[in-house]
Amino acid sequence: MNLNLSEHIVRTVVVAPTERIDAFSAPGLRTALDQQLTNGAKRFVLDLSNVPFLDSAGMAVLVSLMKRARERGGDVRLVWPTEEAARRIIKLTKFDRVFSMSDTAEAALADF
Amino acid sequence: MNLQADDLKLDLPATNKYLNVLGACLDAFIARIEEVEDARITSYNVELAVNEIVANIIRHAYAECPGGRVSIVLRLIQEPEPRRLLIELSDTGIAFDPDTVAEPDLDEIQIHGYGLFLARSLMDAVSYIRRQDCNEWSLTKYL
Repeated sequence: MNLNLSEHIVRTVVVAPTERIDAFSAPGLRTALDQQLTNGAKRFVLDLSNVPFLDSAGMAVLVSLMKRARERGGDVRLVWPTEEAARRIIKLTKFDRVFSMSDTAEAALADF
Repeated sequence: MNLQADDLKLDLPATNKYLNVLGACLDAFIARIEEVEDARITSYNVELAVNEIVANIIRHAYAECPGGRVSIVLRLIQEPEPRRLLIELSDTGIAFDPDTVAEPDLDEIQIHGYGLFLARSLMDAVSYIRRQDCNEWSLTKYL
């Protein structure tokens, strides 16, 4: 039997920052994510569980990543911050309605 | 703003590099205030609101003249009630026009435009005035 087989591997990257993401550190995060996009990653899990502080510059990096990942046929999943105040900000800005949110990185990976 | 005995005054270079220093100072200042309800959340919200205003000053007010400074005064006002935290910021950058800042459409996610929205949402009052050659911001949080 002749079979035409093709294998499709979609690279998924889990990124778990452990420091505050603000206007100073956000460019570094963006550069790191850009590098992953350039290397072919399409799916991203941004694990925010150990991020102690996230400002609008950090949020801009998340939105930018989502847009570019979707342009490539991929997407972004977020893991909820542990910090309750940060969780409230995610809800206030309705990011939890745009991003698929999970409690753990494993759950986020399974969500793809 | 004339300083009072318990006021804390910070004078920071207008660079994002020291946003963490500002945050730590705000946290420490609020930690010394007794009986703050939901202290952790209050502290985070105040830090985020002030962070957004300072980042805005750095990005916009000093866009064409880097090397400026941002002055920040923290004051706990006990009386008259309600008890509140007053944070006044001033800079000598270009004037800000609040009318040019549109509220973000929260149903249509966007990359920029959340900063001032967050500050206004997380504080009880946010005001801006251009006085002589200075921009002056006043943020109030009831405690």
